[in-house]
Amino acid sequence: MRIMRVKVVIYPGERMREVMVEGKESIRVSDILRRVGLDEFGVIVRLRGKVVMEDEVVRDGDVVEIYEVMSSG
Amino acid sequence: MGKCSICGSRAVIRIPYARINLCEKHFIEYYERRIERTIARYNLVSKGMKVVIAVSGGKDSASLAYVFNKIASKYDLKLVILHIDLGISDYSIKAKEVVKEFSKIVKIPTVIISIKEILGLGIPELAKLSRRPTCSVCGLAKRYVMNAFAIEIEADAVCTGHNMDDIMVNIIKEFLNQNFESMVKLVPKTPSQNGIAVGRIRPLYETTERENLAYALISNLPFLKTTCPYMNVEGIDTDLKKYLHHLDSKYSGIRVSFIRRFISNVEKYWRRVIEKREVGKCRYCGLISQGDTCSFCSLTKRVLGEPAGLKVREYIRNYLRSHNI
Repeated sequence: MRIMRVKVVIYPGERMREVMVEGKESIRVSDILRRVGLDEFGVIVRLRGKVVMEDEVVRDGDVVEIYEVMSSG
Repeated sequence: MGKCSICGSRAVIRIPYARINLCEKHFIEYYERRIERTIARYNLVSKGMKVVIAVSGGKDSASLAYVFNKIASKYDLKLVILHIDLGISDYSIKAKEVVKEFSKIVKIPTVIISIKEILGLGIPELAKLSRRPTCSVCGLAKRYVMNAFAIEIEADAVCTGHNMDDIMVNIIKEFLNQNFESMVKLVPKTPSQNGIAVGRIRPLYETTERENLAYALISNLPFLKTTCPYMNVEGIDTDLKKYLHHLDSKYSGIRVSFIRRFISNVEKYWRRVIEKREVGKCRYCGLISQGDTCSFCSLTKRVLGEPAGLKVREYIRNYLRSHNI
């Protein structure tokens, strides 16, 4: 079993969370969103400086920036 | 991997109501085209217009001003950015910094009007002294300053970043309160009233909040990444937005069709309400008012002992003169 450490930053407010994900298969943005309890249509996700969809693969050590749509002014 | 429905490359966003995925390049094209279509559909601008763009520092107005700047030459528009410094501690300081940074990118003349500098009080203090909700006082002051500024600079329209989600929430809230007179104002364009009010245009009327956010991020626009400390995230607006999102994910396109039906019904049934409405001039400041005193002069008279409308207008006049705008 592989353990990955991913840093999650949720905007607005720069709420930081470190998420540890276990899994044999590759981890996707959708898995991270599920872990932090957010719905894909309520957010825009940026990974490695690029806006990505929920099926994007997340690597160990990545920083996942999650921008919540409804409270970002 | 999600693929772009147009070119097959890596998609970055799904547009649920259109049932398409788009890559960065095609999303940018789609978004800008959508705003241009909204402008054309509702006849929001005409050639040579002077337009004041109200920029708060948030993602919506940043995306709007950026696109407007791109299309300005096509319509021969003269653009001016107006940012209102609300005096809300760190939040307003950050907002001002972001707007200055944004202004350098778009190179549009930018005016920053500070409420505190004019009145000696920021919005939170004004709200506290008036015993009214902060958001209500903030909205009132912003509307007043935007109109006063547009009058003084002789603009043809004030352009705001209200998105489809904001507008739908407001329509539903006004309906729940049976406040039809306010509801009919929630249209993409309101007319100017000679010398007392400058019309509003809302080019993001058919653009979702999520699309505005994606556009701002993809285009690397500077925008505020914090929320106003007075925003009630547990309030009815957030609940309604969540519900509308839920509805849209289940019944694709319901929001767009709602907003278009609303417009056509406003035209059919509510136009006479707008036409029948009697508006006059405020006896203190000379700007639009339902009674003999406008809401801003009435509020400031109560809180500060004297109506401040004229003071705001004079401040703006002096600002424009001294900055040669």
